[in-house]
Amino acid sequence: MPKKPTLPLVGIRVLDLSYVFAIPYLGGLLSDLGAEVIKIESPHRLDQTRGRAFGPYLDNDPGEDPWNRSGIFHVLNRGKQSLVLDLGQPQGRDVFLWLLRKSDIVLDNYTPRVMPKWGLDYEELKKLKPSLIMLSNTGYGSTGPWSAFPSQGTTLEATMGISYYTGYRGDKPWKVGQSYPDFLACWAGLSALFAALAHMRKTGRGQRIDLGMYQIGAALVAEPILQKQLDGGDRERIGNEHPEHVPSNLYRARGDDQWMAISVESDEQWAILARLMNQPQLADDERFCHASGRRRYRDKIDALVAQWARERDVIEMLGLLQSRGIACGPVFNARDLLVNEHLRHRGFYERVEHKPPIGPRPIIGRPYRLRFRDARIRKQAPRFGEDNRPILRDLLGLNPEQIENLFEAKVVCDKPTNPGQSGSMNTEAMLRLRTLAALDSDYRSRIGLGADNTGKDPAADSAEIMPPTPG
Amino acid sequence: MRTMPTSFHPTCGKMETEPAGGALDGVRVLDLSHGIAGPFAARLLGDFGADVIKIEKPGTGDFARFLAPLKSDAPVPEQSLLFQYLNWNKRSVALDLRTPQARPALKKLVEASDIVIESFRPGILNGWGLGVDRMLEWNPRVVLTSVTNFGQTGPYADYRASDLVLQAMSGIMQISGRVDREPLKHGLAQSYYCAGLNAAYASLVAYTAAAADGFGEHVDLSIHECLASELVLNESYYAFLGAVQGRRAVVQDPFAGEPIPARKGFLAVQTGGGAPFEGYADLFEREEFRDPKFASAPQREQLVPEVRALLEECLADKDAKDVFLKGAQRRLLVGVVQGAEDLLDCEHLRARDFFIDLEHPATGSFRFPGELVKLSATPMSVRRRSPLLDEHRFEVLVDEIGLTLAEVECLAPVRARSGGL
Repeated sequence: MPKKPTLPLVGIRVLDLSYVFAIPYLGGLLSDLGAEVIKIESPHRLDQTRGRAFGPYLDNDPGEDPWNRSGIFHVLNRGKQSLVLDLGQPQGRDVFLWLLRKSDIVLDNYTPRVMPKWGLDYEELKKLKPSLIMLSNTGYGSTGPWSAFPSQGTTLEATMGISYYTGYRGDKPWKVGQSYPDFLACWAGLSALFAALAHMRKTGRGQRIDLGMYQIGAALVAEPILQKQLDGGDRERIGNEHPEHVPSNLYRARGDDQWMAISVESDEQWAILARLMNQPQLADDERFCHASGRRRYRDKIDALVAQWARERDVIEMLGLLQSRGIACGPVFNARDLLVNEHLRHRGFYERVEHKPPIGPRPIIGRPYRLRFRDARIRKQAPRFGEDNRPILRDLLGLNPEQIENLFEAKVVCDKPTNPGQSGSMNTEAMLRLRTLAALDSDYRSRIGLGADNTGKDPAADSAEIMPPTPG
Repeated sequence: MRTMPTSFHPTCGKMETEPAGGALDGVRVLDLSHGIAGPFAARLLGDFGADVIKIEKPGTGDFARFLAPLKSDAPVPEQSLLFQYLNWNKRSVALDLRTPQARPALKKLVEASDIVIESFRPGILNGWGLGVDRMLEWNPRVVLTSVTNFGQTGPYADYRASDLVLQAMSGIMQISGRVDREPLKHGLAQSYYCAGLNAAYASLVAYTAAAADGFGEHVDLSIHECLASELVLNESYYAFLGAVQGRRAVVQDPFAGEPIPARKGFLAVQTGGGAPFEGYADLFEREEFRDPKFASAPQREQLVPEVRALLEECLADKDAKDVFLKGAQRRLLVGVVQGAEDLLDCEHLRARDFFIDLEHPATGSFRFPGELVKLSATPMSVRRRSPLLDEHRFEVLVDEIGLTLAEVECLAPVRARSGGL
């Protein structure tokens, strides 16, 4: 038994065949917890997060090798190694199977027909490795009439039930956030994976995890599913309001696009807020002093609070209301969060060294601290194919000639064959549309990364390319 | 969950025959938490096979017993269907953790547990002499997972929050909604479910480590950080570029996923995913979609009113679900906005055995969302309905941890037991 607390995945090797958000993020988190994660990338199909679709490129400049410069890729794929392997070729599959014998976990998010087409479905793989845990993430799972349907987070959010209950009062359904279903899948997948690992360590037997994103979302809208059966009723879209608590809403505050969330959850808190608003008579007003009355006069109450909040600073209100026990908080943006004293104190963003030209960057860590174990981002995300040769040589023991043959046959590649279009974001147009709220040329010094390239305005390089609205 | 319909006998709350084992068979979880996040995490561990004992406040129990939807003709505190959803696979014991009399029972329960989940405000358990150091003294291998709004440490540790406040402070609302309107939150109570998913996995992270090396752990989870973890794109926009993302443009390409009204329901359409845009020409039998001027998102951005009018015209005489099914069969990235009724009726969820019917003595039978993930060798399962308050006091405290009947009787007045409020 080791003498000190150890990370749970030390000695575990993971082959990560996945793309985009959900499972790449899951793989990155596994590496934070001690696993050795090899990202197996296709030479012909670049992970979308390496490309222009998501970007953004470092300082909005695609450079010579845009696939190594995407910000989001570095967040999701931290700590991994990269092997660029063509699984469409028999030799590529051989390399994969050699690796498989030396690995514990396989991650993929191909639609259900792809891995079997290559002969790499779980039933085949477990013959070589009975303890293998294979997690396959798909939009709808591997069985059922919709299993072959393609999917991405944005459209799944509608299908899984979340959008129906999201939106401004009286307005159409909305999607909110960034690819919400992907994160649900990531977290649910991690639970399933660790449960399967516990089983494997006890019994020596692996298994297949069939992670269908659709049903994870449907599990998080239980309230209306039960309400419907109870009385046939349905929940309406109520924006930022709470069905029971009033006031509980978002209020405009002083400054440009500043917003304050305030949730009053008891009559006592309402009385406190009324006094803070310098309107103590509201606390005793019979129309408002009970929750049911405030619900009836929701518009009036919201207007009163809105009027008070309008001329106040969000941070001032945060201190004032929180010190009196009222739940509240500003709508923070990315800059606010990266310089936020609380998150800094908790070490939520980890400063990760990256090779030039990227340099040190803050990267999202994990939403929990362990007291005794050193979970952290091990190293930066890999460049495309960065670990090709070390993996073939050191892990598989191939000789230089065998390695060169693999490169010659384009089974293993150093560069993407089909990198697609790269380009800068049209930040000027985005600022005009306000889909970008700001572009800080001094962002490095603001987040403690040292000197800024003051001579260069990132917007000056903009091409005529707009990125899609983030999924 | 496949094992349910044949092997579950809800009225007695026990399996008649044991199903295939769960992945966490033999793992013991003590659930001291309340509300949604902590209990959901503990339930998920139960679904994976762990044995979960829930400790509740005598008299009223977990406050989730008062969360809607409530079946008002059932006895208090057994009315909440949401509570049932969050607490199956658990046994309930009422213990007043504030009292010294509860200490010996809790000590034995912690000694017998692998994982303890709690969601009191920071410092509360410690104030009762039940903090993490005490628990580790009792059981050096135990994992304590604390689920709080902002974590145990830092300037916000004592701040109050709500689902709305958490979504605001996490940054999610900053990028949600329309630029000319207020930021918008996810509906319902998503923060707490997100935290529950994270707390389940983080507990297993620490459990897996502790099972291997014998050292316990304290997992300090912040719900706020769970949500902030979703902003992988937003964060890198700033950290790599200095760009602060805003909300959605007033006018945007209708093929970017925003729900579009149909005759019945709303459709969400997205380009990408490998299928060519011309697929929409075939789907709607409208040649206009082959026009090269619509081929890319930047081009469509210039022609939004035209594209939107065309798409809405195509949908005006169609049901969104039909278009969704036909589009998806053509491998287009389409979604359909579904509510509770649609999900309950969904042929795919039915084929996946997603919903389960659970009989409960206080409320009768309801249909619940069930299996989150399919594990081939150790399927998730529901082995017992949610407990009545304090239903398992004697079974747990006397039969399992060995207190005497007299000791149990002096823990709390018997009138505080199930349904007696």
